[in-house]
Amino acid sequence: MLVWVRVPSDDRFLSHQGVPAHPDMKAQELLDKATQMWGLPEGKTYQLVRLHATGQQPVHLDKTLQENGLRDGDPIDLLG
Amino acid sequence: MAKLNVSTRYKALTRDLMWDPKDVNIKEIYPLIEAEGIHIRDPKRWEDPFRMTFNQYVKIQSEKEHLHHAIRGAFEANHGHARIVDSRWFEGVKAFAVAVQPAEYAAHRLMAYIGRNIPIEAIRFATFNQAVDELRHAQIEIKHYAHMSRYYDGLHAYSKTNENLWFNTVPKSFFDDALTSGPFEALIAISFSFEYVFTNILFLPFASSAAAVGDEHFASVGKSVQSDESRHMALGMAALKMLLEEDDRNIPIVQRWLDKWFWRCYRVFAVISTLVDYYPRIRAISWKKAFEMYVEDQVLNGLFKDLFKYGIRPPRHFEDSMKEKEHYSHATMRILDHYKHANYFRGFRLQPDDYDWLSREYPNTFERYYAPFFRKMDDHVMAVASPGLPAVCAVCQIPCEYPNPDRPQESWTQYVEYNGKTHMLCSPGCRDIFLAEPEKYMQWWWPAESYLSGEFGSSLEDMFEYFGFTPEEANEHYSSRDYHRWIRYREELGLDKRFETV
Repeated sequence: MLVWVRVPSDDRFLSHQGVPAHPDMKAQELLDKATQMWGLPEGKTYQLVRLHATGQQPVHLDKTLQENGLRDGDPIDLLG
Repeated sequence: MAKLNVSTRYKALTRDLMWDPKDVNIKEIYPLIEAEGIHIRDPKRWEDPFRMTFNQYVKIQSEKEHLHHAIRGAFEANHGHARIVDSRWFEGVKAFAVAVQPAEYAAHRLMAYIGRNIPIEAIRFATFNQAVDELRHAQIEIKHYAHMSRYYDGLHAYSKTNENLWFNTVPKSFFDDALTSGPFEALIAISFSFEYVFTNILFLPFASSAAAVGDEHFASVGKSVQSDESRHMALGMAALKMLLEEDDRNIPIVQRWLDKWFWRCYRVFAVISTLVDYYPRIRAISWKKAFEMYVEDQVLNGLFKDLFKYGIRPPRHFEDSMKEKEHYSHATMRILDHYKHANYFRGFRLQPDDYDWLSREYPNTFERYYAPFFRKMDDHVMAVASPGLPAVCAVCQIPCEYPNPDRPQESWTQYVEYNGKTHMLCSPGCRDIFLAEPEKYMQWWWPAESYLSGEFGSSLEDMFEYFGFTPEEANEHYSSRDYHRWIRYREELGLDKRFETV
């Protein structure tokens, strides 16, 4: 599966970027992958938020993507 | 027998040449004629506005071709490419190559589709002429790229790049959308919304920019093409009035098509805004002023006032396009700079005179919202290269990266839930198009997904092989081998010399 991650605090890139993922991976693993991809500072606290048509939904980092209800093609914001 | 006058002669050569079928139902020959709900009571009333017979058409087009190719020959023989003011212009011409030429060829097919499926003789003749026009445009543009390819990167596997490059999904999705519409919708989409509303802003500012930077060949391409577009625009206007006057039941259908295709056309022209505002070192006009002149004044505030008597209002979201004119070229150039390392035309580091011009032409937006982004490249040209591949709009296929023109610090991206998936749209305009036909747009293919899933191979090299060019042909212009070749070529011709006059 593929999810689309955006880092709103990064004023260089404003769109969501594709990150290969799989339903059984922990959301923390996805977060680590994305922070590395964007070169975000280590040691800071970040969170993931799923975006959908009617609003936002927090992603629990200790749960898998499937347990968080994340699907192929879902847009996510990485907040820090 | 007395000699026929012009109109009688035209009628004799173009009307009543078909028969009414006796052995099969006419609906089997024209299966799409009733599919769109359009009512035509008396199609013979309708006239092709130009009324040209084939020999007249050939004579006029032949003269244009001779004139254009004489200019092309002189440009090539006299090293015209080396005489332009700045070689970064050719990066813009490369963008035009893959954005516009395939569109010309697709328009050729589209006109044939319309002529085949609408059994009105005047439309048949007009679309036949236009189909041939579009083929001519494609071919004179390809000749320019063939010549450029002797000296510049990016165009040596042109057909492969056309077929596979992510960038080209924007025009391809547009024309595939039109080709899968009914014939009357396709006629309004291309002949009216594309040709009448937008081709002036496509060819006139770009041709003027070409002339301003010294690319006489491409200036000639633009002017030669636009001389046909005026005929296509007249067809678009005549087709629109025919549909509105034939039956009142057509009006809401036509309004729906105008709403959709205005925004569809506006978005497909996004890259043109950068070819007007960014790529030429000497600009003829800004996108903002060109938009005000060719779209706002002539069409939205002019033509649509005349259409009010039919019950037609301006297209939905036209106000969004007016608000976005302050942002459009900058936001689009920002997208191109993100992905210039995977594109066959390069971005470039803005020069001091660029900042001056953009700040002067866009005093409300450029310095405040966009200059800081472009200045990030002052120290490293790849400082703004995107870390991955972007999510694109499910309708227009452009990365979802446009700011909300009312609150430019915020993204304009729209999220829609349909069929168990969240779809992303770049703007409210594309969102409404998606919502009207979700089954159509949810199936669009975006190559980034295929690349990320490994469909093109496992490495970056595999992706470039698929695209038809190499990583050395991408990135930034002033640090590229194209720029250094151009400088050396000019030196060999002595064009770098400065002569003092005392």
